[in-house]
This record gives sequence, structure tokens and C-alpha cells, in this order.
Amino acid sequence: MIPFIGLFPIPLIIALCALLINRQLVLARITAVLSCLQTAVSIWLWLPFLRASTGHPIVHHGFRFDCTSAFFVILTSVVTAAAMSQAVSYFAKELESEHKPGGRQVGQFYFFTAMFLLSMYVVVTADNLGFLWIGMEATTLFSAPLVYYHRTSTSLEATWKYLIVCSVGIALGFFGTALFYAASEHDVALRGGSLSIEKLSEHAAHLPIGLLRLGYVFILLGYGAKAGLFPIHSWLPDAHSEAPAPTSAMMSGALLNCALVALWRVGGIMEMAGQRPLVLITLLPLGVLTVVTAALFLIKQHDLKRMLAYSSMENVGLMAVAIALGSPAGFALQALNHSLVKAALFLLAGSILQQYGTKKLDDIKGMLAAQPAQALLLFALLVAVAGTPPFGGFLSEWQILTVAADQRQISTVIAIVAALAIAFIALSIHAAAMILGPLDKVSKTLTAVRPSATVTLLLAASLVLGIMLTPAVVAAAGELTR
Amino acid sequence: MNSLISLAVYAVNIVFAPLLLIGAIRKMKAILQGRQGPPLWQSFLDITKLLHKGETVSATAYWSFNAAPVINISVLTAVALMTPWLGIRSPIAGDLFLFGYLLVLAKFATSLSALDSGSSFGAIGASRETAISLFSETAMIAALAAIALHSHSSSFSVMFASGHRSLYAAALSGLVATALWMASMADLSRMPFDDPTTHLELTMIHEAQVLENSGRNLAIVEFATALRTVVLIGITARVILLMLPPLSHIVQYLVTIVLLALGAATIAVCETTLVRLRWRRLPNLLSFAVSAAMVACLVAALRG
Amino acid sequence: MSISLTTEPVSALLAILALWMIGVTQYHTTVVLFGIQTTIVGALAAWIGWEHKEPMLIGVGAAVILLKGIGAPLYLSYAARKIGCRRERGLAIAPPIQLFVAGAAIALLALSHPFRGELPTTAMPSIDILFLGMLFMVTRRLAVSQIIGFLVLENGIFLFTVTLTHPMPALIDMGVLMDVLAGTMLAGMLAFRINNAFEHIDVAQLTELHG
Repeated sequence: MIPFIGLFPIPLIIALCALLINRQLVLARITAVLSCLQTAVSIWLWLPFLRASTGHPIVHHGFRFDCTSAFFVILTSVVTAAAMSQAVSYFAKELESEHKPGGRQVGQFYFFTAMFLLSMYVVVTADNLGFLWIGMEATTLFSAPLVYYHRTSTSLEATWKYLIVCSVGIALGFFGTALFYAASEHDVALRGGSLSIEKLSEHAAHLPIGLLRLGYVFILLGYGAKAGLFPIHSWLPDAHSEAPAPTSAMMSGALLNCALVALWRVGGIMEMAGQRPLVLITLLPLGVLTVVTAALFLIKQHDLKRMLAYSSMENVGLMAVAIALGSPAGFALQALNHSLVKAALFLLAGSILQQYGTKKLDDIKGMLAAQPAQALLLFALLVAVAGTPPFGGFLSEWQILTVAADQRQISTVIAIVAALAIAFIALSIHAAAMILGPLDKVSKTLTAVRPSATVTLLLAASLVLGIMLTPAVVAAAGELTR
Repeated sequence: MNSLISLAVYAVNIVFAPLLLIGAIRKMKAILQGRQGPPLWQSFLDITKLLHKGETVSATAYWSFNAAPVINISVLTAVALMTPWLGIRSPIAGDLFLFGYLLVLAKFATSLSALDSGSSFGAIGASRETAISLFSETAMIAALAAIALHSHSSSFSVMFASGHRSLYAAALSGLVATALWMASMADLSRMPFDDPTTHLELTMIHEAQVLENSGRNLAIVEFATALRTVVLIGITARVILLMLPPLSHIVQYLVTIVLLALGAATIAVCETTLVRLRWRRLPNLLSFAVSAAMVACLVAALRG
Repeated sequence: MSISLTTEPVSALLAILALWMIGVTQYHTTVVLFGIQTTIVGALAAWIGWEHKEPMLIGVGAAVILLKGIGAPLYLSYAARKIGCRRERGLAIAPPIQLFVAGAAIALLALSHPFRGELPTTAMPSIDILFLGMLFMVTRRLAVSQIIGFLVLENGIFLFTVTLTHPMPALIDMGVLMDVLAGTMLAGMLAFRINNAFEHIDVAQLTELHG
């Protein structure tokens, strides 16, 4: 239980500081330092679990201590630390600009971010399906005020859609959970029903199949809405584009993973019950459709952050395909690469937005001439998220496609390859439009900016992953327990 | 129960009950509004007065104008003799579909006479009444059909044979009674569907149709309307009786009288407190009646 | 009286209340109907807790009655009064038609009754209330109506969890209740902001973000 409790002190301290400290930049700097500390703490507490790959996971008081939990706890901490570090310069610039945040706004931002982080930890480590649900709904409730940070009418619209669609989705997921519970009541060994994923997996073969299948469909719809699967993805572009940059980074890099981890765990229960075909029939088409839809939407984009949100949706689709095919390596690697690169992209987009004063792609031109370093960074990141070698995304996508081909899902392979190609072309065209070309009136006024250390570090990590991912590492990633 | 006794009881009640009910409604309304109001038997005096008056008939009216009140009263008397609206078995064995069709026949005759008299108010009234009957007839027939499906026969004697046999039957009867009450209120042009005391012809639905009648025709039409009221409230009371366990005939008769008085009180309260709904909003209200009746039908049909 | 003998008629009554809400256009009436429905569900939960001798479940039932059955309707009607919205307007499908179709669908669903024996008999009314809540949310245009629809949906799920053979652990139900109430408060505050920003709370007109 200690590893779980040990994650709590630092975010709670951040929340307390947010309530007490009034000087905004001081608060920002303290949070940045504390979140890096939190990363160190989570690595120290959870690394042992990451290495102990085989055998039964430890389940204690409704929380799981296994490979998947460890992996995603550490990943979430890393993404948050990156977001918070960049947030210092983000808020510094905000305070100088014309739309200065009002008195309590920054304090509220950090308070909700800390609680958001805590609820994400609960989701990835939960063994009890009820705790999983409570954590998931808590992430929605704590991230909604974050999406509304800018207090504009468009962000209000985005927040409303996000809150309503995700809450309804998660409520359906709860009904699925209740059906799983009802199914578990039929097994004498479970003595009156159980919500524990561990116990359900153990006895899965003895549970009534009809109830499990119905429950799975509801859970898929519910947590799929939270992950941004087609057709319940409508909130994703709005929420991710209207939120401030650090929050978008956290949402894309950490929150989507949480929802997918929930789907992964429940898929594990279904597999133990012998229902792989059902998972394949339901989740695989949804994943493929998500990838294809996202790729098509990427073609005609006018907003930088919305474009990045659709790219997130594409990666979510790929991860969903990995889950449906039952490939731990594909899922974990794709999650890792996507989180790192997408967080970097959103943070960079945030600073571009502050420099150029606009999110519209048409108004951002000639970056290469004005700010070469930043332009190169942007181009490299966009190319990385599209899955180009030598970055890590290429290898994880390759892994997923290989598994799909092994399982003879030929139409899936064709659809995904086509969608990835379209997405790559779209992203490159948008990137080229922003970077190349002569200076226009806005970019003329900008001086070369030293690229953010955080963003560069994340890009380098992705590069390293791409180069260093030998088959042995991939196999090790495949050892991730359910 | 002996047919002759039942016939005698029904005959007496057909003569006295309708106008007493209307008198009761008026009296209760008056009390609620803080007036003394006319005595209970005022309607009898009104009818008697009308019978002595001469008639003014529109020049363009055809024979259907004079035939309508006659058709109305004779059809309604037949309906009153064949539906168990007093809680005891009716002298003639009635049938659900005969009931429905006869009521519609009476309404048809009235609408025809309204159109025949050549006044535009009559035409408005007739068209509105027909539009409302689209919903209220559906609700009424469907509601009673639910009970028919439950008892596997459309004959009133079998449908209303005894009291509730199970919680399910009682619940079904409750749903049917709700639908029937709302449909009856619409059919009788009571609040909130139509204000019977209005003097504004453009807002009238039923009153506009009988506007052109005078003297003896008016007396017959008034009586026929009162008879229709008491039969419809009576059949709703009979359905409510289905929710109770079977009782002896006299007790059922007395309970029906009490329920009729209760129905009159409800109408009086509705007319005092509610306002007339806008014409465009009437389908919204009636759709509750139709939905309740349809759901009751579906459940009775598929569950048996 | 045994549990199953009461839960069946009560669940049917709750489903009828939810169906009634579909046909109503006045906002205040829907709030009152929702309040009645939640109070009945909470009372049922408390009674089941009493029968099963689980004090926590009684506590959850009491909390549902007080917070969700009385508190939430008060808050929402206060919000509606402040905003000044009274009736639903401009629904794509008229309430009467929604009422017929929903009523027919539910009656047919109830009679096909899948999973006989595996699920308790209250599963069908719970699913009915869930889908009626969703229908309410999807077809209505006022922001506050969408909140009511969501709460009705949650009522259906709560009914299902307390009427299982062994009711779900009350701790989870309590957590769910707290989450749902927090969501309601947040959504209410957002509705106020929407009214301030747009001078209406018609969600069908929130279409600036698209593509």
C-alpha cells in the first residue's frame, strides 16, 4: 500500500500551496520543482514493480501493484512534470500579455491540476472497478474547470460538451460495471459479488456469459467515450484545443492513457472468460474507424491545437487496435511514444500561440526564417507524431501492424496504413505551411527564441527510444501483465 | 342479478342521475367560487322551461338539423342501457366496439347538425371537435381494449365480471382509469380542453356546435350531453372498481355513486382552478392519455 | 413484505415517472417529477438496507433523498428561475410523438425480457429509466434539462445496483453519489456562465467549434 500512499503527499502539498500562495509566478516555480520531485518519487516507489514481470500481481485494498500500474504511474508523472516545468514560462508570458489572468485563476489552475493528477493515479492503479469509476469521473470533474481556464465563450462551449459527453459516457460505463458485479454474484466462490478485477479474472470462466458480454459493451461505450473513440469523440478536439497548453499536454499525454488502461484491464477479464472474439469484433472496428476518421479530419484543419487533438485521436485509435488485438507491447510502446511527443507538441504549440497571438494555421507563417530552432523542433515533433523513423512512434506502429498481420486482420492493416499515410501527408503539409515561406508581418516582429528545454528533452527521448528499441526491449515491454 | 331489477335501476338513474350530476357540478363550482349557486335540481327546471319554448331554425337547415338531437338522445340512451356505468350489470349486454361506435355516431350527428345550420361558428366547433376526437376516441377505445385483452373478451359483461385478481390487474386498471378520465374530459369538452361556460364563440368547441339549437331541440341536446357525461364518468368509476376486490351489487352501486360525486367534485375543482389550454397545446396533453392507453394495451396484449 | 414484492411495483412506478417526464415541456414540472422519482429510489435503498441489515446502505439512501432528491431539485429550480427559462422550445421531435414511441418501445422491451433468471426483475425498469434519461438529454435543448436527464440516468443505474441479490457495496454508491452531485454543481455553474455569455441556454446554438 505504501507505493500508492506515497504518491499522495506531493500533489496535496501543491494543492495546499495553490490555495495559500497568492504570488502566481512563485506558485508556478514551486509546482515545477515539486512535480519533478514527484517523478523521482514515483520512479523510486514503482520501479520494483516494473521489473517484477511475471507472477501474480499484488492486490491490496482495492489497488493493483503490477507492471501496467507502475508503467502508467511513471509515465503520468513524467508528463505532468514536463507540463508543469513548461507552465512556468507559459504563465510568465501570460502575466505580461494583455489578457492577464485574474486574481485566483492561476491558484485555481494549480489546485485542479493537482487533484486531476491524483485522480489519474487512482484510475491506473485501481483494482476495484468501483474505485476505477470514481477516479475516472473525478478526472472529468477536475479537468473541466481546467478546460474553462481562459473563460471565453468558445472554451465555455468546449467545457460543456466535454462535461456532458464524458459524464454520460462514464455513467454508461458504471452500468457496465454494475452488470459485471451482477455476473459475479452467480459464482459461489465470490461470496456475494465482487468488483475486484483480480477476482473477476480468476473466476471469469464460471461467470454467466450473457451478463459479461452486455456489461462489456456498456463499459466499452463508456470508457471509450472518455478515450475519444469514434463515434463518441466529439468532445476531444474542442476540449484539447480550448484548454491552456499545460492542461492539453496532460490531457493528451496522460488522461487518454488512463481511459485506455481501463479498457485494457476489462479486456483482460473478457479474455479470461474466453470472449476474445467479442472484444475483437467490437473494439477493433472502433479503433480502425477512429484512426481513419482522425486522419480524414486532419486534412482540412485551420487551428493548430485542434490539429494536434486530431492527431491524439489517431494515436488513441492505434492504441485501441493494440488492445483489441491483445498486444501488450504495441499498447505500451505506443502509449509511451505518443505521450512524450504529444506533450512536447502541445507545450510548443502553447508557446507558439503566445508568440504569434493566434492559433490559426493560416496566420502562422515563415517560422524558419524568424525562429529557425523552434521551426526545426516543430517539424521534428510533427514528423515524430506521424510515426516516422527514426523516432519511437515508427517502431510501436510497426509492432501493432505486425501483430495485426499475424492475426490475419488484413483489412485492418490496409486501413491503418492508408490512414497513417494520409495523416503523415496532412501533418507535413500543415507543418510546411507554417515553417517555410517568406516572413509575413507577424513573424517579422519576432526574435529568435531559445527553444524550451523541456520540449527538446522530450523529443530527444523519443529519438532515443526509436534508436534503442531492440527486439529484446520490445519483448520486455510485452511482458506487461494484464 | 335479475335483468328486470337491473333495468328498473338503470331506467330510474337514466332519468335522474345526469341532470343531478350537472346540478352537483354547478353547485360545487359555486361553493368553491364563494357564491351560493343554483339548487341541485336547477337543471330539471331549465329543461322543463326549454320544453315550453318555441324553436327558431335556420333557413338553410336541412332535415339533419332536426334529426341530430333525436339521434343523439336515442343513441346515448342505448349506450346508457348497455354499459355498466352504475357498477352493476347492465340490462343489455354491451360490447366494447358497439360502445365506441355509438358514441362516435352521436358525435357525428352533432357535428353534422352544426355544419348544417350554416353558421361559421358551428363549422369551427365541428372541425375542432373532430380533431380532438382523433385523440380522445383512440385513448378511450385503447384503454378499454386493454381490459378486453386482459379478460380475453370484448363483451362488457365478461370484462367487468369481477374485481381485481392480482396486483398486476389492479395496476393495469389504474393505468386504464387514468387514460379514460383524460379522454373523457376531452370528449366532454371540459377543462382544460374547453371551457363550458365561455361566451366567446371563437374559443368554443362543443358549445359552438349546439349554438343554433333552441327550444325543444336544446332541451334534448342538454339532456343528451348530461347523459354522456354521467355515462363516461360512470365507466371510469367502473374501471376503478376493478382495482378493488369483488363486492356485493348494492355496495358496488353505492361506491359508484360516491365515485360519481367525486368525479363531479374533481370537475368542479378543475373548472375553478385550471385555465383552458391553447389549442396547439391540446395534443401534448392528450398524448399522455393515448400513450398510457397504448402502453396498457401492449402490456395486456403481450402479457395476457 | 419481502423485498422482491415491493421492488417490482416500485420500479415500474419509477419507470412510469421517467416516461411521464418525456412528455412534459414545462421545466418546473420535470424538476418536480425528478425530485419525486429520486426520493422514492432513496427510500427504496434505505428500506433494502434495513432489510439486509446494512447501516451504510440506509445512510446512502438517506443521502440520496436529502441531497439528490431535495437538494438538487431546489438548486436546479433556483438556477432556472435565475436564468429565466420556463419551457422547452423547438424540439425536433414533438413530445407527444416521443411519448408514444418511448412508451411502445419500453412496453415491448419489458415483455421480451432478456437474461431471465440471471438478472433480477428490476433490471428491465432500470434499463428503461437509463434509456429514458438519455432520450431526455438528447432531445432537449435547455442546458439545465440535460443536467436533469443525466441525473435520471444515474437514478436508473442506482436502482439497478441496490436491487441486486447482494446490493453493491455502499461505499461505491456513496462515492458515485458524491461524484454525481459535484458534477451537477459544476454543470449548474457552467449553465449560469453560458447564460451570461450567450443570453440563452440553448445548447443547440453552441456550434462555434466545428470541423
